[in-house]
Amino acid sequence: MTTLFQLSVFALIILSFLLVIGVPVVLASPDGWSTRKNTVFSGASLWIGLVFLVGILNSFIS
Amino acid sequence: MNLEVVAQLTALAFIVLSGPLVIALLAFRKGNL
Repeated sequence: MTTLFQLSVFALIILSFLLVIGVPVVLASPDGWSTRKNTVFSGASLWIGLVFLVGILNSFIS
Repeated sequence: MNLEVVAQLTALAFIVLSGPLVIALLAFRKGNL
């Protein structure tokens, strides 16, 4: 369980970094939003899910 | 060398460098700066 928690936190950190870089680049690129909108929404949805997953897993580790 | 301090400085470097990286990427892609 601890390993799963650590992997989830690591994934959350990496995805957060990718979103911090990627979202402003997509929003300010020419035709970026219309072509990469689904990617941004998927990344944001995955990020929210990871936040709740980390919060839930935190209750199961000592 | 303290590994924890190295890890913290590495994380700080990633965060600090993310701003200029966004600017560089947008300039390379000829985005709306």
